[in-house]
Amino acid sequence: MEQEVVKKKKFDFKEFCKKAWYFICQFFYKNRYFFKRLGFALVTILFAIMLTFLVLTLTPNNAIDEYAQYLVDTRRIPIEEARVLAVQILGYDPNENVFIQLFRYIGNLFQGNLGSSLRFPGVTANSVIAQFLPYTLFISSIALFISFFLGIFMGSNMVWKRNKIKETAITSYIVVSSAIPDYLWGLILLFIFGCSLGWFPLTGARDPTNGLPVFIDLLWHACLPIISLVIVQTASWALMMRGSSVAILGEDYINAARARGLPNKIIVKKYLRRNALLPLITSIAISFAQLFGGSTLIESIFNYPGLGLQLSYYIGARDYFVVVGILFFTSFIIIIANLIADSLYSIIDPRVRRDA
Amino acid sequence: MFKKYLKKLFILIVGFLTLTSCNGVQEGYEGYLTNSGKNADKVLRTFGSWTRTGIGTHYHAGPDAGPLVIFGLEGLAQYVRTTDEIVMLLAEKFEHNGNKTTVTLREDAYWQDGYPVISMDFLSYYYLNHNETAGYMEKIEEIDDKHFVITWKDFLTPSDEAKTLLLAQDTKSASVPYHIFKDFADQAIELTNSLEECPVTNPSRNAMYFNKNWNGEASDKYGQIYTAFRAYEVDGTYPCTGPYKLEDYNETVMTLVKNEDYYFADTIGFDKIEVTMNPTESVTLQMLSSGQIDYMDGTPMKSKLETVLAQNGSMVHYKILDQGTIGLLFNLEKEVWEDDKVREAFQYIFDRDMIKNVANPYAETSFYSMSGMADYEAEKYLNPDDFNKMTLYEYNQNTASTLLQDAGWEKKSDGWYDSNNEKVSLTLGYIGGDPHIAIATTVQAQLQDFGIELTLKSTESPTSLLANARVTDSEYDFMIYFTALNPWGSHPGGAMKHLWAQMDAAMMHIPTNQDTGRYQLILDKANGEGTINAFDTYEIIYTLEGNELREATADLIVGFSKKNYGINFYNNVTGSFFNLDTVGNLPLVDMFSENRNITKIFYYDDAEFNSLANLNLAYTQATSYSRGIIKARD
Amino acid sequence: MDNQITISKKRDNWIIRTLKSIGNFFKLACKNKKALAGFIIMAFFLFMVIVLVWVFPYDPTPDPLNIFAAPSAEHWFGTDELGRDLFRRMIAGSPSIISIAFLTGLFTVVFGVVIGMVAGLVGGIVDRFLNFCTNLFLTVPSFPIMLALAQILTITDTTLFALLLSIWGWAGLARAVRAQVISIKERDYIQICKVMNMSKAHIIFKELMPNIASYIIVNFIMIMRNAITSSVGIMMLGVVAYDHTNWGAMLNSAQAYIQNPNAIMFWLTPVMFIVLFQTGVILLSNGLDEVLNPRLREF
Repeated sequence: MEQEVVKKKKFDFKEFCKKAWYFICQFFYKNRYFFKRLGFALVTILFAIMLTFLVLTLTPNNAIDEYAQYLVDTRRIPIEEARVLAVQILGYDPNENVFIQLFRYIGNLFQGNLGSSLRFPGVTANSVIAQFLPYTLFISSIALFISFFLGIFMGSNMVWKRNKIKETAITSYIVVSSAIPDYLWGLILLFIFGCSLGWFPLTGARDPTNGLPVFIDLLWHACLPIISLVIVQTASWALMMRGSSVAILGEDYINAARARGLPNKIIVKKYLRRNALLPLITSIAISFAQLFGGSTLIESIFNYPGLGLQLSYYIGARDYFVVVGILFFTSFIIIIANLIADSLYSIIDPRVRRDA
Repeated sequence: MFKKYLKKLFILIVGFLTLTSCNGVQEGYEGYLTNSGKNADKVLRTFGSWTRTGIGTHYHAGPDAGPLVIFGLEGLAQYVRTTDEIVMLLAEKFEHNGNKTTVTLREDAYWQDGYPVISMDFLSYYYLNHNETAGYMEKIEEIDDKHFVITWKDFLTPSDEAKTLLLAQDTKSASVPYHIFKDFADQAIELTNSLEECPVTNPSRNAMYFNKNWNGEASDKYGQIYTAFRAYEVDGTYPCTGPYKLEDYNETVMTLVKNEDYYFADTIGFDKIEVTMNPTESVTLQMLSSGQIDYMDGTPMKSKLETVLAQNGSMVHYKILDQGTIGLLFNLEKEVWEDDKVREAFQYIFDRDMIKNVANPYAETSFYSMSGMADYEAEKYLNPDDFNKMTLYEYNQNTASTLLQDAGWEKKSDGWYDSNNEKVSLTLGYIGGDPHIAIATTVQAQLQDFGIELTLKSTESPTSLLANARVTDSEYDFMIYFTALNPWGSHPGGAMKHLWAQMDAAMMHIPTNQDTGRYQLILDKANGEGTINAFDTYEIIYTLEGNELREATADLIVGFSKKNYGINFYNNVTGSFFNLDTVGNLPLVDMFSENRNITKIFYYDDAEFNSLANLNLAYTQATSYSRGIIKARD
Repeated sequence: MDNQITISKKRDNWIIRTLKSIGNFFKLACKNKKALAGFIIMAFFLFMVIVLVWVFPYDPTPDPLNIFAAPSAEHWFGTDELGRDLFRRMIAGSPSIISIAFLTGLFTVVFGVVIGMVAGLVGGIVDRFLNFCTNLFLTVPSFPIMLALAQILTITDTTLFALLLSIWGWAGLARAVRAQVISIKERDYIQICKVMNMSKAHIIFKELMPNIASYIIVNFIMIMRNAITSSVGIMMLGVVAYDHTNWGAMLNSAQAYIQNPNAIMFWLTPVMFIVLFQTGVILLSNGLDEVLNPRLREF
């Protein structure tokens, strides 16, 4: 009896392992396309990182130069001497083999450290992202949301020629709004609403001294940046929506709907807009992912503490590891968003089958 | 229908135009003289910049604390840039005696955490921070808490004047409180004392701080100590002794409050300082126009400056000399500049008055070749005979053509060809910002007019300009940058330091000795008798005094200008904006009552010169504010 | 002999047919007001690039006493921040900026469409490889690469400039085209074509292209505009020689003069030209779209 129990237990365990293994295999097999893609995506990111890293280390101006210049300014020592000192203090030798640096970097990456700053002790890419990403996401996701919905509304109305005035108005809006670059829009808005009228603050993301509730204060500061992003982005969404709507127009179901004598409003709303939206999913996914990089120009105009401004600051300071860390993060998001978009697309639009 | 639209459009345009006048308080200087109580809270609002990720817990941590450093940290003494004035701060007096200087500290000076300021604080600073001043020192000894003695290197003892200046140049030397950094300071002092004496071979300060042999191992150890010191996190406040302390800061705003325990607490001019992180230029100007900023330094392009003053009737702008000259620096590695005649010819090509008027009409045109020192400064430090030996180059393209033809160049229908019969096409490197873009495009237009093709290469910052220029085979044939600059107090050594030790010499590829790596430039002496090695003379310039100093300076300046290694365009002028509603005690009231854009520039011998220099934060740090020279409106 | 005659006849037919179709096209285009207006605007720009550049030569020498002069008979649009004629400055910059915009649009669209289509149609390993390249270009940021390039080269050639601008733009387009192609190729009419064994060329040009043409044109327009405003970024980094007549560079230097009421023409002039240029392109393309795209004709 006892032996049997033991046997049974052993048997059970083996069976369990087998079953588990089977399930895991099945899971991977079922989702093999997804995992294949994921693998490819990771390889892409690795490539992107290596490329960025190599390129950054190849530029003549490097982190040592930047720190040496800082030492020259504060200590008034000759630049050559400062450079020697900078190598010593930063503990980073730009002449060291780039590949060794790269491997060390990737090693750190696996421990979850996206990259430590050369200039500032204690600052890492992780901490920079944690500190500044929320601001960036706050303004740009709201802007994307608003401009996407405005854009698809405008774009689907554009193909419908019946309403001449509407179409002219939308087209002229698109032409004018997109001809002026976003930074100029930002400045014009700032000048009118910040400087002349004084309705909105000119700089910053928050001001603890004005006594407003935190969220209201944040929104108040974010208004102008959001509006200027919306003005420019709406135009491109509208144009894209128009393009994709045109492609839908000749479809049988639209013709059928027209033949049935359905009012235009309903055709636009129920048939045209919904179907025309499908191809935009890829674009919105990429746009959303690109948000994570922030919009450097808008952030610098509004003095808004976002990730884009930080990234350009660290590139300017040639703080490679932080730069590469932030880029790794944004690339990762872009790739993942792509993956999700592709998968979503094949779920939403059943005509797209898995490529053989 | 259409008319209706037109009407609406008209109303919109009119509305926009009325908006375009910023809502600054239109008070002006009359209000300045009569109305009071405009700034009852005594707040100063200004611009600054600090590291957005956080300012660290002490000055040497790495990040930049910006305004806190300027208003909160100080040194033994503070020099006022461009003037001879030295303001004694934590030191009560310096007593120079041969190669020894005794420093007596102020009795009533305290760190903001309550500890008294003691001698060891400064020993810690110099032993942990190997800077220029430390390079002249042999050792520092503590006598008691309030006295210490500096022994200067025997072979490199600065003149008495230079000793004071070198100590005053360390404007943030009270930044390593011994009660906090005891461990690191002790380690550094112990390390220094344990090293063997370095036999004197040459006057180069490099690698021989405190006369010790800083070999590889010692340097590494020093590096480790310094890195640990940098990474050390201080509890509580940022260690400061100055007139202001940190109240709060975030990514865009920093607030500083008056330090009530400060030894000049009675005269501190403002109770609170609110600093906004430097925005882009356009927003900076908008904030000045709408009266949201009380003080800013710098002189923007003329039309921008005038717009601000027109839109804000309370703003006044002063112009201040900055002991800098802007011009062209030749990359001597390039074959074009090998012929002296070509270098001389280029002095005649440019209409320098036009370039000055384009870039900074308030400045003064310089008609000299690059000398390494601003003209008026050279006039001050050189004997008049020597100063007159520098050649004045008037704008004359015919002379330039003749000289180029002498050099074997030839002008054909499509432009100039050099002596190898190749079409001349040059590349100019410059920093992409005001006023350098304006200068670059003007230089391009003038060269095009003369028959030389020019490609403009922009770059993002001075550091990248330097990095791009100093590589071998740099693309740049010449660069736009400061041909002279002296932000380090009144001594010819300052300007020479800029030329030789900072960016200029490196960017110009001044020939070096292959064995030692030191610059090897032989210049004719100003009096025509013999030659000097320029770099050797530069290195001992702080040890010279009196006529010896004047002559050595003349040799360096006149000799260098004779080489025609660069072209001066204009002696630069910077400045300061002040808001009359909120800032009081400003000088030149009768001048700004006529025109709030004060265009007159004061030179060394003018009575107002010192009071103007005191207006600029970069020239005086916080001392103008702590001594009540600038204060809030009553 | 007979053979030769038939060949030449065939050739004649071919030439006549093309000429006829071009004629038809213009007839159709002229009937459409949008296309006509767009065509006139584009002709004006062509005129500017070819003729006006010689009629109104530009003097780049600054005139510091004449900064931000109001529009007058001498200076039609007033003067700029250094006292130079704005109208002439715009014209001087037009040949390079218009060719840059056009070439960038062309290169980007060609890269994007070819790669996207190939990936979508062929599938398999080719698709995976192209996807990999596309992702790489989507994820590697342009800024550091430009920094590095700035040290190695200075570009003065417009074609290279356009190529450089388009390198970073095609990836997004390629992805979108691929997605559309994959969606369309599974539809009935394409499947029928496949079953009927029609040529690949027929499927691509007759069936696929019309479906994504509007989409491509939209991208072309946006890319052209982007090329104008973003060319200044590469100039400021030093990859491309700085040219102050570039419209993007003008907009960039106009930033700091927004609040100066005298300088309103300084930023308004380039904006007006870009608006006009963009209107021309949009009208022309929308018009042509309506003429050529049977679907739009009925609506």
